[in-house]
Amino acid sequence: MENSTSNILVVEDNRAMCRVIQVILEKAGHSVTCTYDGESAWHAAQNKTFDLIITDQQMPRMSGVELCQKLRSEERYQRTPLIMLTAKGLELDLVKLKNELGIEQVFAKPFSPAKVSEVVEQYLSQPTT
Amino acid sequence: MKLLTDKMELSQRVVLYYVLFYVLGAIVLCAGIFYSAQEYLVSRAESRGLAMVGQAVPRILIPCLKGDQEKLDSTLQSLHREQRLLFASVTDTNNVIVSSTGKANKGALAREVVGAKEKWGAIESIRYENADQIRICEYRAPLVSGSQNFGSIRLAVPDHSIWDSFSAAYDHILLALTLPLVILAIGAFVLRKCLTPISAVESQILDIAKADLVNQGLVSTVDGSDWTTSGWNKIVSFLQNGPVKTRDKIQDAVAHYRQNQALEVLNSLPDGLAVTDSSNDIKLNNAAFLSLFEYTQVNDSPIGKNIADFLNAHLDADDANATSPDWDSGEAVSEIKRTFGEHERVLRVARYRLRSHSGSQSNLSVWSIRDVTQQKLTEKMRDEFLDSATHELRTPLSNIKAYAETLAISEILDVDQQKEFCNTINSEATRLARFIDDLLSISNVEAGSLAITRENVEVDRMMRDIVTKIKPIMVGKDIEFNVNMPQKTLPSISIDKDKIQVAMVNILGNAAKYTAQGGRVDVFVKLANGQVEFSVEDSGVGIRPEDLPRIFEKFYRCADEDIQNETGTGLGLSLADEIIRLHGGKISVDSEYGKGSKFTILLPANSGVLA
Repeated sequence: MENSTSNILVVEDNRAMCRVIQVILEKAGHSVTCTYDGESAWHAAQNKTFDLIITDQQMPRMSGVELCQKLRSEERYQRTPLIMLTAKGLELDLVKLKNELGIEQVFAKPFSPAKVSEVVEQYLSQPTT
Repeated sequence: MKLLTDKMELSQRVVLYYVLFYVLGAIVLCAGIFYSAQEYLVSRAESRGLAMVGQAVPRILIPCLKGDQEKLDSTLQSLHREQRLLFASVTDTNNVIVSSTGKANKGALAREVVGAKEKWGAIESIRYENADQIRICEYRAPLVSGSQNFGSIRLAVPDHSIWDSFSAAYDHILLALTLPLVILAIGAFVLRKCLTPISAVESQILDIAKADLVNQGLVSTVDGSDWTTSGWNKIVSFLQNGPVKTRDKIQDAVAHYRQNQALEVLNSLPDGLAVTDSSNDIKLNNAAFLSLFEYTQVNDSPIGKNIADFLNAHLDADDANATSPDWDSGEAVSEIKRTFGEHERVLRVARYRLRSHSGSQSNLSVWSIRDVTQQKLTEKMRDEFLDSATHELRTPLSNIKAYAETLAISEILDVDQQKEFCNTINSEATRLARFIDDLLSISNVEAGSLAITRENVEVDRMMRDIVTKIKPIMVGKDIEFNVNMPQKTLPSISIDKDKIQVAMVNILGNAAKYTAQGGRVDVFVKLANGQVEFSVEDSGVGIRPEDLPRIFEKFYRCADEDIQNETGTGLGLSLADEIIRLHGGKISVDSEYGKGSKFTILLPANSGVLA
């Protein structure tokens, strides 16, 4: 497992959830930025380029899907791994997410932060193409 | 009598009664007159008799005293003539006839007679009938002069009865009887004349009562002046001119009512109803059908118009295709959205085939249109509530699970983080518990079983507890949070501490939730008019004026994005309101949209106030 420091953006309006992901990813040696809504996430993504973005779907002002669409429209985020967290797994069109936004991993709440960490490591270890 | 009068006309009956009473009156009158006259005649006869005796006794005594038989006889004879006596006689003390003018022989013993006797001192009278059946009144008086008794004198006069007087006055009597009869006859005639029209009125009334004449148009006026016809002719002319038309109108109205009875029943239904033929043209519709479509063209009936056109008339342009089902296809139920002015309504349209009693289908269709707007709104609120409730339950649960799981593999966490994680699990569990409490309370309120257990609570201490609960949220959002208590000690109030705390925490929680980072929330507690007033002022998003009246409704959440972005169930304020209300208190809100809100709670302090 490559132990390099990656910049990860976590977007989640549930601050406690944000915090636990932050703690676990920081323990794995990553630099984690927490934002609590889509808009501030978008601003953060403008200021800094992230290697991986974990976003909640249901958020104030801008939904996770909207955020991902905006990110994908940016050159530098076209291939960035995106992980989506959702409280309503059934409502998301997973096929559409995969085909249009390239989101392969969707975690339905409640999920295991350790599992998220594992998936993050998996993505980050893949060679960027 | 009754049988008799029943068959008679009114006038005949009245005349009959008139005659009967007239005769009865006449009989009573005649009897009175008869007995009075008889009494009068008798007393007059007696007066005459006594006067006669009084005159005769001295005349007879003279010859008696002289002992002159001849003079006695002649005096007696002259008395007989003068007084038109039947006979006169003088007897001695031994009742032997001394002198007589009648058949009685001198020297014979005077015959004793039997009859009604009357006495006036020494004079007496005897009434009797003699052998010739002549009624006689015989007066007897003693012939006494000083101490000498010569016997007695007897003078007999015819005893006239009243009948004799009547026969004497035959002509007068005849007239006296005839005149009343003539008057009676005239009276009867006049009475009959006057009563004839009334009688005619009565017979007509009787006929009307039998419901004969009005229907046959046989009612007619009667002859006679106004006062005798009792206004009947006026009634008849009214009946002939007005009521017949009125009757026709009533009959028309009855027929019309029967025809429209079914429609009136339909018009009482709250649901719109229409009947259409095979080409979907409206044949019949009720009032609700028109009002549901706000069809106000009073003079323009929808009858004959195509119902599909009608249903599509107010169709929203953007969902024209989506909500316009194929109305031609058989039986269907569909919900359509229609915009009327500013109102959007959801109408549930159902189409059925009209079935006859035998169950066979006709080519007519029955359409039922129900306004389900309110129902839809309630359903939407319920759905939103379920959504929110799910979210409210799942979020802390997800957090607890995530934290617990991370703690379990605790080799990656240091002690401070473990402590932090435990605290988070604790607060999330508290949040979950509080939400479940709210849910239970609300369901208790719904069921009417939310019980208030009062105890004396010190306001200061309660406020400290509340602040402890709410402070972390305020601090987390960098909200300046101040609690202003009065200098002097507030009285204890008799409340259910836990429930009031729930209400206060709900209100303060809202203030924190809807106030932006770095805003401020102020709490003021004071005593006002025997009530403890708690007010919570925030510098939050505020509430739109149109939302203000509804914020205490269950499940109601303002449509504002700022509000919708925050999680919530729409239960908090509703529950707070119920709790305050159960305490006999009052909750009110004042807000300026975009500037902030002020919630004021008034709780009565008088019950359980400690000095």
